[in-house]
Amino acid sequence: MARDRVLVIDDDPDLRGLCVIVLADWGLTAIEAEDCAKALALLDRERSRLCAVLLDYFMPGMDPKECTREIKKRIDPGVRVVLVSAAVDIVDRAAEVGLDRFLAKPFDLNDLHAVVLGPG
Amino acid sequence: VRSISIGKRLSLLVLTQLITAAIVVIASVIVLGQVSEQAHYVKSYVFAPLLEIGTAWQTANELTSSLEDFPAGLEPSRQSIAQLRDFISKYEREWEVWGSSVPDAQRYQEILKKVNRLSLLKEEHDAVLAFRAPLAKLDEAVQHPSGRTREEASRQRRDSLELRAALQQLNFVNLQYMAIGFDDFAHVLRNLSIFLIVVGAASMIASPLVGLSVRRAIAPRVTLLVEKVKRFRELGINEPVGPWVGDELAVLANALDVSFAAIVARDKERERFLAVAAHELKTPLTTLKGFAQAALKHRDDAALRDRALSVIDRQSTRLARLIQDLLWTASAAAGRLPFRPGPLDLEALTRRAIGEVELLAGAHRFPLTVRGETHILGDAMLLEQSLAGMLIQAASMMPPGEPVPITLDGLGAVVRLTVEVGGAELPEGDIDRLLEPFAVLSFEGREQVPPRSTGLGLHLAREIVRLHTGSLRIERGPKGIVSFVMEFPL
Repeated sequence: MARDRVLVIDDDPDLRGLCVIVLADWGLTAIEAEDCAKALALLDRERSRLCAVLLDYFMPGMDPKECTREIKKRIDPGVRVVLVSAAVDIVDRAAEVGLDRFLAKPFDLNDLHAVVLGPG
Repeated sequence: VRSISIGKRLSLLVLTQLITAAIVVIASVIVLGQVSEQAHYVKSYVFAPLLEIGTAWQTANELTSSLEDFPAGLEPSRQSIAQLRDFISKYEREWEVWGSSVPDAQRYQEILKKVNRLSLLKEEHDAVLAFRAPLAKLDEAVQHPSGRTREEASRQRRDSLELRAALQQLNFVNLQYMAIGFDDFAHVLRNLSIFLIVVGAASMIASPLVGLSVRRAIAPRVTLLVEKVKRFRELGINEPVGPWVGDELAVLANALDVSFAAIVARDKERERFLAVAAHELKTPLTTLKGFAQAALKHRDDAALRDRALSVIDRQSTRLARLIQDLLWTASAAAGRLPFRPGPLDLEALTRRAIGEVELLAGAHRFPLTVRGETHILGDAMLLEQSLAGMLIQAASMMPPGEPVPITLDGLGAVVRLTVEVGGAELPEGDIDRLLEPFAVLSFEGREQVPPRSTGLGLHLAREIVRLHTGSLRIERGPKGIVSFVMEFPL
């Protein structure tokens, strides 16, 4: 089964909508979740088709560190988890939640392509 | 020692200097008194008899000379005898130390005793007696003249010589008295000089010692405070210098600690504010940029282009509001909000604000109930801004479609505007912290149906209401309803 789905976890519906359009251009399907609790519920179902997770830092509900830990438990190795945030200290935030991939808002669509489909 | 205040330390230093100065002045007065008394004593009791003895010596010499030739010589002069009699009487009365009860004489006896020369008293008394005997004979001859014979003249001449010899002895005794008295005077002077030197030296030592102790108690801590200020200024490190208690430096150190802690807290708050502001500015920019890029890529897709334009319009509107709120928040923090008050109707103003907000939050209604007098003195532009911000904040925290009831009550001493917010998930505890910048963002509606607040609306509203000497507070009511309550003086 092809891994062509990207889980987009962000409380901004416009950003989620943007990801749906852009990812579709790249042959990917965006699965939207407005918070971590809803995302975790989707993960079990989409696990086998998932190629990446785009995760916002500031969201209502679950603590981002806990959210990341729970996501990692539910995805296959090799699935990219990318922190996407407008925080000024995104490098520190990524390290805090244990992620080595991050994308600072506002981003260029080419940069989004690189973190989702780029090498390594 | 640290508990003594600096004021008390300085007072102690001044007091010490005053005391030492007073001691020096008193000692000087005592010394001057002693010297004056001693000088008077030497003059009146040591030198004066010598002068009198000298005068008597001259009289006795004249008497002796007048009696030398016979028969050409004269009878003893009544005047000379009278002068010599007066001299010896005065001497016995005023100056003879032997058996005298005069204070100066008794003092002199003590001096003679001290130098072991009491034998001089006897010599003096003998000299007085030796003077008295020939004087009595000569006086008798003057009182009862019997004609001047050679024998008589010879006897009178012998008496006058004895008189001179007695005077010479008396002079010799008094010279020794003078020497002893002068030695005593010099001794007293030396003792007084030593006393003055000791007092002066004690003053010289005591004042610097007290001054040094004050300096030791103050200077090191002042240095520490200067170092603390320097480290804070250069490195931003706030290190407590205590524990000091009880004096002005402790108060100053505590004030510095509190001030520096406040500066650190303010800096942290400013950093947090800037970080959140940057985050809030960058968030709409992301969708603006992303949708712009997507629309450019799909120029022929009308549906996508329309959607992109709609998002860009909404997000740019929000961005403009956020920038305006940030500028106003900065102005409010600096106390530079442009406040131009005038008479206004709060009801009309509220209706205008509702109309403005309903354009942004179409899913919500804002039913308004008005009671009583609603005319106040205020700045219409600022108040409309604060009301709109507060209403957007209320709507953003409520489930979509829920009405936002507003009550304007002017029946009391104030005009009270109440906005009810139902269904919001708010923090436990101090709910007033929602009035801080961006604190409300975490508690806004999950589904992000417009309007999204800027996170500054309540904060700005409070600052604007404060300018009107009014107040804005948040009240927790029954059934999870929270109210934003503005009050304005009529």
